[in-house]
Amino acid sequence: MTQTRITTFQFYSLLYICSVVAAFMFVSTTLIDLGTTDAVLFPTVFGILSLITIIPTFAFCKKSNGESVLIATRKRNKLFSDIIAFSYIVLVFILLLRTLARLDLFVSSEVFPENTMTFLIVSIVIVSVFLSLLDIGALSRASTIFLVMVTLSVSVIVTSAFSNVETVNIVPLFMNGETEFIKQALSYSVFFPESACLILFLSNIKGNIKKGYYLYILLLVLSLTIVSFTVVGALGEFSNTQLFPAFAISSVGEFRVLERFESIQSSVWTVCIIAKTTLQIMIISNCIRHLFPKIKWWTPNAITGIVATAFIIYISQGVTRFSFVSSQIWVTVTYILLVVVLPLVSLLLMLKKKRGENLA
Amino acid sequence: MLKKILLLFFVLFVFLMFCSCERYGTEVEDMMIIEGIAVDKENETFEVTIEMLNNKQSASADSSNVGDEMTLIYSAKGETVAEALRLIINKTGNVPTYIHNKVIILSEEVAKTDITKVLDFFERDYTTQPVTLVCISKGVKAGEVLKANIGKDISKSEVLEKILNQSAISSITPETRLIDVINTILDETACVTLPAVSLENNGETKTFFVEDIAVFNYNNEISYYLGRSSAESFVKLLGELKNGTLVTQDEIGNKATFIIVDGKTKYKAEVINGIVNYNVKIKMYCDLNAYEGDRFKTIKSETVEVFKKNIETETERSITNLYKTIQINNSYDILRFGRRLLQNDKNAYKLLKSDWQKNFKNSVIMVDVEVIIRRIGEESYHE
Repeated sequence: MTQTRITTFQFYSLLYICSVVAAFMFVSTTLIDLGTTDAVLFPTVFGILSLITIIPTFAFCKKSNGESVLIATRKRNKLFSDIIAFSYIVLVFILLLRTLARLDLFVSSEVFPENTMTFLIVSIVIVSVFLSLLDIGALSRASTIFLVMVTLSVSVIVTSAFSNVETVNIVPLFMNGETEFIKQALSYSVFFPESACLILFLSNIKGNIKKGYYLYILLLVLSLTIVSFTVVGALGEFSNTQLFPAFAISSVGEFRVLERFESIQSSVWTVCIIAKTTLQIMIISNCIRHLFPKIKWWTPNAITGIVATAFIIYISQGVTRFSFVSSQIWVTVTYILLVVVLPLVSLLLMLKKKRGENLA
Repeated sequence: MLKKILLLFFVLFVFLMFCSCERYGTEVEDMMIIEGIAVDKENETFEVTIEMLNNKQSASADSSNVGDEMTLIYSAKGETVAEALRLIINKTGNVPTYIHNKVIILSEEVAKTDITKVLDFFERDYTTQPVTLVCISKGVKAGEVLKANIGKDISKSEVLEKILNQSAISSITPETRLIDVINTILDETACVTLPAVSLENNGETKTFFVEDIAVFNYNNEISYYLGRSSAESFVKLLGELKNGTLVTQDEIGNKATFIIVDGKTKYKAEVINGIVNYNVKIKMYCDLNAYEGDRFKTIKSETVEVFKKNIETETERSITNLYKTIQINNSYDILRFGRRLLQNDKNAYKLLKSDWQKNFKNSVIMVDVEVIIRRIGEESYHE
């Protein structure tokens, strides 16, 4: 990883926009019912889950003395470190494909309907590859600007749609039972694996990581709850008929003279998705560099971009291919591996070696 | 230096890629900006009539010199609504844009079969908007509504949209955006209602007229209409009371007109011995707007109290009568009272929803209307 130092605010700003954009690109599935009042509590469950699943990462932070997972594990065991890097490449690549597939679906459904958007997606990948060649510092600093845009966008959406909230759309909680609620809330939560990035950029972040994380989760839960409440209250069960329910609220509300401001929303989210894909390409490229240190500095980014483009052109051809990339099983597996298993395994290695060192 | 070049590339990309129209190079003149859509049906064939902006006139700097009508009307037939709309391209040469569509008018013939089949297009299409208003054409073909001569240089869809919106604000008919219709259809225990638009002769021209409400059954087929007086009580009971007018009398029969400035409806549902009991509390804030009896003299507080009591009694009676009318007419739950039960007692709802039509028919309502006379106008008042 590059050693550019970024503040916790800059880093969490990046994670925040990546998470919020995921919420707005959320596609209705048969597993998650976003139209019922239960959906308002899904972000709270996500918050609780995030506080639990971050424990291995925080423990790793303590043991590694602020070194990122690849650097710290390499010092202990090179083979293990390479396996970790390879795992990150595969898992983050799946996330990258999901992000690009969502963007493709979003752009071809909401922004430029009835058009094949391969050109735009390829252009966005090219831009993301170029941006990923800059260091994490540049992206994080840009994210603080994007944060202002996103905050404004979310505020405008919520404000405009809030007057459309109808009490008849609010029903009692746990309509389908507590078990179903937990199942749906967990299925929802795994769509936000952004906290996995923390362990990869530990060396770059200066400041109180824990405090920043708690604040990030708190603000994210708050934002997602407000968005969910607006979706439930303003759209009701109609939200389940929409491809992008959270985006649909922008077409319900009107904001003074701006009647069609969903067009502005689209551009904001597209810029945020560029930041997200850039981060993902950056992680994959850094892991490739970790495996092949002698490789030219720009090659991993270019390779990632080319392979992702090839995949996305294939996926873009049919709607069933989108569902394969975004299937709940993939989402759940990537979340568990990225957020829980990899930090936990890395932590165990650190503990084992430390014990070995102490014995010696 | 490289970073600056990359940043410049990014900025240029954003500026060049996200700042133009959906269809690159499209002029306003070449767009079919649809203002209203009317759907008729004859022998399993749909006839769709659209009102589109006359872009040549709209795009002209001085539209008064162009001389053409503000909007143009086109019709086409097809096996489905979507196909018929696409076939209009053959007549206009432009690709339709539904994003500015203000109103969807369904004919009674269309409403005789499940309206979800027709509405699916408007819900699924990329550019249609969920806030588009939906209504029924009563006693006239839907296409005729858009073709009606209501005056020169007028967008009929725009006029109809204003009438429908104003009717909802004045609590004459409920608000029926596409999203409201779909939500009601998705509600297992509820039936859809749509405002009905008719045409009135007004000399050489015609006038739109919205008063009645079309009631649909559980198969989403039109069943009957609620008339003006029932429609107003319906809006009150539905919880959509916003504004409106009320006429009442004093002790000696002088009429007084009140403006409703605000209203709130609260529901409580409970199941007693298997019967659903609804307690509905309606609070209305009214301002006196006209009074026949005082000859410009000071109005007394006793008279105001009489008005208050009269409005309360009359409203309670009309709402109770409406409820009975709905129960007698096949008990289609157009009030979404099943939903109100769900909000109060989800376990009872789960038990009763499977046979909701029967349970709704047996349900009992208690209406409590509270009127607060907020102002009496600019004339003097004796406390």
